[in-house]
Amino acid sequence: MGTETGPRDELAVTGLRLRLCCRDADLIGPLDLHLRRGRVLGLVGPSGCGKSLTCRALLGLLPPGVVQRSGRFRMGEEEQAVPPAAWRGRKLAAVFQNPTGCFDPVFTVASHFRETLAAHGQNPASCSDKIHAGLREVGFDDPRGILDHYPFQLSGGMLQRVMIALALLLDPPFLLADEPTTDLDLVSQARVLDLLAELCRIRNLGILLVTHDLSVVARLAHDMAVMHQGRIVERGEVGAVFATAAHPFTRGLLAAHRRLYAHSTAEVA
Amino acid sequence: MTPRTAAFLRPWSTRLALALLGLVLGLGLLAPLASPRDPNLVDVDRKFAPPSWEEPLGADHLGRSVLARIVHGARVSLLVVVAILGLNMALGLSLGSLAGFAGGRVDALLMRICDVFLTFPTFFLALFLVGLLGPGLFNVILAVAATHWAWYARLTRGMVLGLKHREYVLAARISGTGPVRLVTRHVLPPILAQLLVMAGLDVGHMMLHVAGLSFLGLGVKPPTPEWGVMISDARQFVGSHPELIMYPGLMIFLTVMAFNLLGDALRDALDPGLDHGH
Amino acid sequence: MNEPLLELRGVTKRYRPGGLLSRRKARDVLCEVSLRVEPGQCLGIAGVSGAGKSTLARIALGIEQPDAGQALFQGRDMAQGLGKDRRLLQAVFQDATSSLNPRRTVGQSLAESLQNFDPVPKGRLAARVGELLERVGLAPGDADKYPHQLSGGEQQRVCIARALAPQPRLVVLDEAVSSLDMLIQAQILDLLDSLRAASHTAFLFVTHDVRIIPGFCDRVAVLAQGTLVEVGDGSLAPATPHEQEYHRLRAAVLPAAPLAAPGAA
Repeated sequence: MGTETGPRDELAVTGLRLRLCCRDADLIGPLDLHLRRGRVLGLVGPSGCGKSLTCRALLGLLPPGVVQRSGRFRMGEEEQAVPPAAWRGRKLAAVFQNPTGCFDPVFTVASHFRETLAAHGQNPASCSDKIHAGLREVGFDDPRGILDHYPFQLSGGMLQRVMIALALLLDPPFLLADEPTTDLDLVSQARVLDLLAELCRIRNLGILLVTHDLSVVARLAHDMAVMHQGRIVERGEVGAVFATAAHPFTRGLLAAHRRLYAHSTAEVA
Repeated sequence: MTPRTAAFLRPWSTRLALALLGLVLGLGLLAPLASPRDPNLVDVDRKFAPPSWEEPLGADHLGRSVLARIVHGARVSLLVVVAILGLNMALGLSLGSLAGFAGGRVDALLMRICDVFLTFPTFFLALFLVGLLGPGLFNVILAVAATHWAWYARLTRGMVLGLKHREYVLAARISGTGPVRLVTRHVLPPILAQLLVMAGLDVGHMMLHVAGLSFLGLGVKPPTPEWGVMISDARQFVGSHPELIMYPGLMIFLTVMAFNLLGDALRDALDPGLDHGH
Repeated sequence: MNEPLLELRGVTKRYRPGGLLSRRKARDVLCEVSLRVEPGQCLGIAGVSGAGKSTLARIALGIEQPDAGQALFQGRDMAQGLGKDRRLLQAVFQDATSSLNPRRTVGQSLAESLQNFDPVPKGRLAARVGELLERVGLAPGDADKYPHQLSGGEQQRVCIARALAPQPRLVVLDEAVSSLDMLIQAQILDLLDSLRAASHTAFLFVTHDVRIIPGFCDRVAVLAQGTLVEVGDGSLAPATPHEQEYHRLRAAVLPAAPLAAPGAA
């Protein structure tokens, strides 16, 4: 969909290479990614292909033992060798696979919001309208009620939506969603994906959607990049890749995907 | 040698600990050879004899050979610790798994008993028990074991609770493994590993307890060579002959340190490796 | 009519409220559930999370007993224990990593399952373990590996091999492919399909992922609010609540191919 985008609205990673220290071979890369506002980029690959490591590099939170050998990160006009801590939350927010694990079970939902605001130097008391609006945006009609709950009182799907509201609290232009629906059941999954699609449109959000599931990409993403053994082997518009995949690995992935559906989705719209 | 043993032996601290323990153990086992003198032979003429070729560490206030007493003391100290450890393991493992597997009221009752033992400061409880049972080597063993077993029982029970619902235990049950094998193959090994780690860290604590009780005159009866008794004897002369208190003190320090280092090494070797992979 | 392999008759299971602070009332997790699995058949059980699928699987396996009703395997009530028939009723669980003892090698785990029912002579054991590994697409050399040295998909293959070792007539697959990635899911389903064709083993396939069911199962039942009803292939207009539930689940299945306008709601 033709929203005009310039370099100002882009998060670009160029020449990213990651290596396990004291090893000779690169784990990742060289890898380029271009994420534009208002579009969803699906990063697809099997487990162990380096998707999660790429996410951590984007957040500037590489695990110990992994070193970045090269790479530039450009957000708008600002270019950095390593994503600065100031980007996290304000410019690039993240949601992860396991929403239950992202919440501290002894604190209410409200205190998670307060903590996030306090960590970014905002006064939580003056932001209650903003919190309420954020929760309404992710589909909770009674924000006050949700805020009083403890994380374990909410289902995985609800928690993931709260997580999204938390991530978007500081109006970041980009969102990194690492397997956001993998642990959810089908109905919750559909709801969260619908929500992400809507947020992408309304907020002009750029979403990097990391997943192993091609159907999630098919549902949500505009563009996709297929990752295999630390490299991007195929990229393009989702429809084009599904229709005319060139790389043998992508073809294998698509075959497995069709195998799962077998004869099931013919009549499902 | 398996890779796990190699990894266990890699840190210099583990090797140091093993060397020290080997030394103490060797001294204890070979006590009559290492020091042919009778540790209890009183010779007033040699009172506070300075170190010499015959008597490398000199003699104490009764003219007894300090080296002989240190070496024979290693025997007593190690024996006491091993006995206490055995008791702790046996009690902890049996009562802990009983509580964990039986659950319900048995569990509640056993755990409340544990709580009673855990709430007393351990040294005072030991003092109290020795007071009740009367001094002596055997009673010291009982008293110190009584103050420590509850930790082992608690740990065992907690692990049994976690393990008995683990999916691999369930899976083994479904593939037809009987109850005895289920426990010996799938439930006990991780618990034993944890208990060993805890024991390694605990042994030093126990040795100090025994020495402390002996120092107070409640443990091993005085003529018997034991490091705590030696410290107790030497304290009257600490002004004129401080070395007499240093020798047994140093031995306790080295042994406790060795056990602690070994406990750390066991924890590193048994705890993470399997679950996190390489 | 031949005897069903597995039959549940009016099975009800309720749980007491757990924990000191819980204000929940005792509730029926399963209510009057009945089902039949014939030899060589594959029955799919669909339901959202919390519908009672795992409880149903455990009762079907005979490791939990119903509060009311009967669970019969080959016509015998499992409340009296399965005895020798245990070998004929095996399971594969969702989480392969925690289904394997981390301290035992793959070979030891498989040998345990082989040895439990009929002792294999020592000399033959390694060969039998090797055969099993080859049947599930692993190399005989993998027997010496520890579970943490294998990937998630390979671990699940080991679990399948372990379930096949005693030559079962029914295998309960409790979300057996749900936590694997897509590529591996497809491989494991193909493997299970071929095993079923080769050995005429019946499956009870419990999952929330209804997109897999039509391609893999002969019949589908939906578990909702603790009750179980068999539904057709979903081609007719949904009439009963269970058919509606199935329709709802099917509607939530994501498209197999991208829509014309991606991201549009």
